[in-house]
Amino acid sequence: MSSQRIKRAVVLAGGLGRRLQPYTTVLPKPLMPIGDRPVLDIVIRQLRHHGFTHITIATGYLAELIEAYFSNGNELGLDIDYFRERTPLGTVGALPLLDGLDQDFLVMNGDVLTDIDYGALLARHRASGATITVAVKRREVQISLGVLRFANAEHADRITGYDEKPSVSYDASMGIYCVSPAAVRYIEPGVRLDFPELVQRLIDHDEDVRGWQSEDYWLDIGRHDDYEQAIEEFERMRHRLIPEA
Amino acid sequence: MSERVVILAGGLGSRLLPYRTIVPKPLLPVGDRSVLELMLGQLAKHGFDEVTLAVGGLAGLIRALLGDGSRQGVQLRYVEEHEPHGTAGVLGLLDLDKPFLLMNGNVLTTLDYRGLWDAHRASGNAVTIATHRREVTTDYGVLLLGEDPSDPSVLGYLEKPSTTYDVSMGVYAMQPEVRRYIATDEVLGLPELINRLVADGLSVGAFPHQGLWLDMRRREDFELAQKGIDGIEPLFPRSQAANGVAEDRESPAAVTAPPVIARFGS
Repeated sequence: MSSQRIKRAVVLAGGLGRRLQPYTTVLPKPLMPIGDRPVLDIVIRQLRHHGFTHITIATGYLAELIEAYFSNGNELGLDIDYFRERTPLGTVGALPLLDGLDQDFLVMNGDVLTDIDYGALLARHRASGATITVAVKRREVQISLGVLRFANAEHADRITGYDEKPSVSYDASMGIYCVSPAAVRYIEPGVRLDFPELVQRLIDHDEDVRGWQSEDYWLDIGRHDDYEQAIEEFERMRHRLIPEA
Repeated sequence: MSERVVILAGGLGSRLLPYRTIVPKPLLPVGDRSVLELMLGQLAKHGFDEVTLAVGGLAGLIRALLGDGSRQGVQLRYVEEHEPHGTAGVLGLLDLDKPFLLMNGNVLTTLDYRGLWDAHRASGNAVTIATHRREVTTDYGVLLLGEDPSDPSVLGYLEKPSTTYDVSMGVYAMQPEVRRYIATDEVLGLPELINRLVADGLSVGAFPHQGLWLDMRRREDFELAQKGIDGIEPLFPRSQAANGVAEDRESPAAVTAPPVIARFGS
């Protein structure tokens, strides 16, 4: 049975990339260059390296550019197809409209630069029986303010401490998820829906949603700071990011 | 009604390149006036007219612009700081014999200084900090995870959540006794001083202000000030004194040499 399991991924590449304007007026965000290639090219090659054979790219904004770039995937030895969103369906709204999602599969943003082991993530998800597994990365954020502590938060008058530019850490979603067919049944076909709402819906229905805490390299190219960091670090990180290159 | 104010006007705007290379932060423009001029006008209106400016690099520009302060309706004195002493360390250079306000010279605010002062005087606090509530939004999807770090369950998922903080506005009413907690020539920041006072059992209070507050050292605040200039300018009425000499903007205000009460460092 397990030998028949194929590894399938859905890559979300339909966003407008507002935060990276003006570049994204001519290029969809997943085609933004990192070094000598688009970030989505790196993602697709990584997926292939980790044993994924069938990749569906969900496109919207400037769909034809992405289709022209990857075509049917034959050059890469992959089976690549496309789902064009006529109206924006959010990060999960398109899933019930895709054919053949009858096994657990990977869903990810097409603009993340990471060296996570996608295959291990999916294997772990399958073994756990969770409806969704979310890859998370701890991120430190500096608050550039002088933050005060109080004896009683309700009556903020007596000060007990002063922290200059404190750091706060968050468990950030990496934009990489493993999804079971059971989870897709919670999504209304053709209705806009994003991952946070789907996850909340599953939790409300006592479904098992699990986190995978990653120590891997991770940048969200849709964020300006991260994109600049990616360009700066790419040559140094190249061997970790591009398999067999 | 005549109170003392110490304004920290020493730092350069390292976070505001390229302006910082030529203009000290307190002289950054808001309309046709600088932050410092707006601040002095407000202070004068509230009766805070004995002003000591702690100046560092590019002090000459501040002097040339403000002179003895008479145009702003205050008496200006200068302390030159040749090596940085930190935001609290500056106090170690001054004789302080009565309560005073201490403030950053980069703050654009409609704070009721007199209200802060009266609240402080009535409270018995060693320090009363003017506070502002700020909402900070995280640019991430944030997961709330269960306790098991090796296999956490997901308890919630918040898209770009906001957190509210009570932050220091950079304006403080202080008793002269705080001077005892600062050694002469010590490099000390305000946060450390406050934590030192709290640790020693002194009372430190808050005076909340919900009107305009922009810290011009922060790039986003500086840009907000430029964008919102039409709404901000009328909040800072021009004083009679300023109107009288507005035409003379080109001529140096400090025709008479401004008094220097002390020089430290080098």
